[in-house]
Amino acid sequence: MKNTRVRSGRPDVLRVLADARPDELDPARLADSPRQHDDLARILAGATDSRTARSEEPRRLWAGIRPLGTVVAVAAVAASVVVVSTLDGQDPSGVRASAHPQSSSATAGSASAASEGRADVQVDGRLELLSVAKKAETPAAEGTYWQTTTRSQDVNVVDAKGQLFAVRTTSTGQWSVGVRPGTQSLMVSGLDDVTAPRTEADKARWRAAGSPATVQAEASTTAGQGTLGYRIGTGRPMVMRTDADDKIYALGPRNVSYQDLRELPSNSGELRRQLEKLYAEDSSGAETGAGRTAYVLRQAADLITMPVKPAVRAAAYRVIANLPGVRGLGRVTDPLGREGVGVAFPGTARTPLGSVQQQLVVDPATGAMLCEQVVLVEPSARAREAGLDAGTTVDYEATTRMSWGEHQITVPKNAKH
Amino acid sequence: MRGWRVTHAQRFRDVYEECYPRVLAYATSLVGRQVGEDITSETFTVAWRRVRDIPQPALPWLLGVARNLVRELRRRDSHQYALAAEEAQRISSGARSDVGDVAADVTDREAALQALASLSDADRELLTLIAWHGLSPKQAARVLGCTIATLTVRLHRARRRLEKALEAVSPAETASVAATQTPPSRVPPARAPHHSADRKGALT
Repeated sequence: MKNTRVRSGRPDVLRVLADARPDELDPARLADSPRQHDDLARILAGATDSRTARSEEPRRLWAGIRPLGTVVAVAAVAASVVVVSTLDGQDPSGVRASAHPQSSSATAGSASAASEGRADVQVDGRLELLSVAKKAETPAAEGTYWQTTTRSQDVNVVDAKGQLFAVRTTSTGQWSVGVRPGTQSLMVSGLDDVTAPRTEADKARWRAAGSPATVQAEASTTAGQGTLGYRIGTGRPMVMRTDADDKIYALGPRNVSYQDLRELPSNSGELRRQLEKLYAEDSSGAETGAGRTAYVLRQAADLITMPVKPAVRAAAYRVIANLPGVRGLGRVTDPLGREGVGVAFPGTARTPLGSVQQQLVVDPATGAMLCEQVVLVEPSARAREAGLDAGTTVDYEATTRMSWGEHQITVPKNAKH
Repeated sequence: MRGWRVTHAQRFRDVYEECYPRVLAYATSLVGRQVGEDITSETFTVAWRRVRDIPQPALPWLLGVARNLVRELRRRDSHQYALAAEEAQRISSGARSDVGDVAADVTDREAALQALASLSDADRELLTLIAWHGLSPKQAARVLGCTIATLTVRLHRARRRLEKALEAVSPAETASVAATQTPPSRVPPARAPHHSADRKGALT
């Protein structure tokens, strides 16, 4: 397990996929057609048509920025100011006071990490002094591993033998990102992974369907309808190595090193401009139809969970608060029962469960991200039939720990690579 | 071996001969055979005009051009594009009329195609560039216009999701698949599907 890095060959699953290639896509079957020969002659003869003439500049097309669907330009409203006023000028710490007592791994604070790692410092005041002293020696040393633990849930509506019901998959994930040269980043997902009927009523329907081991959910896209399989029961954890050279995170289309992260601007205007630049670069952002506002919001929310300087984290919150269409939701409770301040992304997205809204829950006392969640706004008929009402949180990812550690996490023996 | 003395025309012929079927296969996977032939034709028309710019190997560059042309088509004529994409979807989901394979083989293939169809467009594109169109990860990165490092992470995740989808597909139920994508935007596209990791961004 030491090295779970992807090899650049074609391991197993890609082999399976390669073998499944439809014959219509086999180049050997496509060679030497009359059209191929005709085209060559035509092209060499210099014939062009208007269509190709128009596509003279592929470069231009790369950008491919099509702001699909105008984002509702609601002015930044008062409620989002709550976040600003709470966070501005304060230190939005990356560590929640309720973090698990990770005393053994929370040793390497520096002065900035001391403010960043308030909870850790409380664990052992002596360590605080040590770390402050240590900081004087090595100003850049924040810690070795930036570690987050998350608890997530996904809900979907499935069909089995005419029975419609909801299933939920819950699991825990750990991500430990090595920021020093020579360290690795490991992500373990699917810990305690369980897929089960969501409620007792759902369980009854599942039983009525004969307690099938796998159930199908609807998936729909522009291209049509399809199904998504769920296996009832427990799943195995999976481990992945996530670093590539010195790059430890992706920010938009770019991979960034720890150094890159530390150099991000702490001025919110500058930070926003940088994030907007990423949008312009990121063709996939445009492809998914996410508008610029949603994109910038996404990146800013990601930044908050990365080991950036406290001032940058604060700037990221300010960027979010000032985006058009972002709404404050006031005091809310996250799915783990923790109280925080809610922020809603602009607009809603259409899913098979109905229209949904994306929300963040932030701890106003520390600025820590508590949770990202997807809430049903207008349930589809299917969702309603399965007992999912408006306001139901269908998916969430709650952060239960975010702090520096000195030791790499251990990977469970049964983890898949 | 050929060197600097090769004329542009000869170089173009060589590239054309070597890459035409592959570009057509790629274009067909995006927009079906008929429109795919037009896209392929346009791709090489662009290539001929820019013959000095064609890198070695040429294929990733050509697929990049083809990809742009398909996008341009989508923007210019969404109706035609939708029809063409539907045809491509039919091909990629393995809904073929001819049945010549061993039964078990067909089942495996359909399971793989069904699993593939359940992934996001981005995952499908990446996985098929490598598994079907024969690109190395580095070349795929070039086509997709991202860094190799980004691609490595994306590929890792896409593979994982494909594995998961394969597990979820019960080989018994073959049905004609039309699955397409994990529920879009159940989780934000960026952090996406991809749970903790992606949320930090590594994604897409």
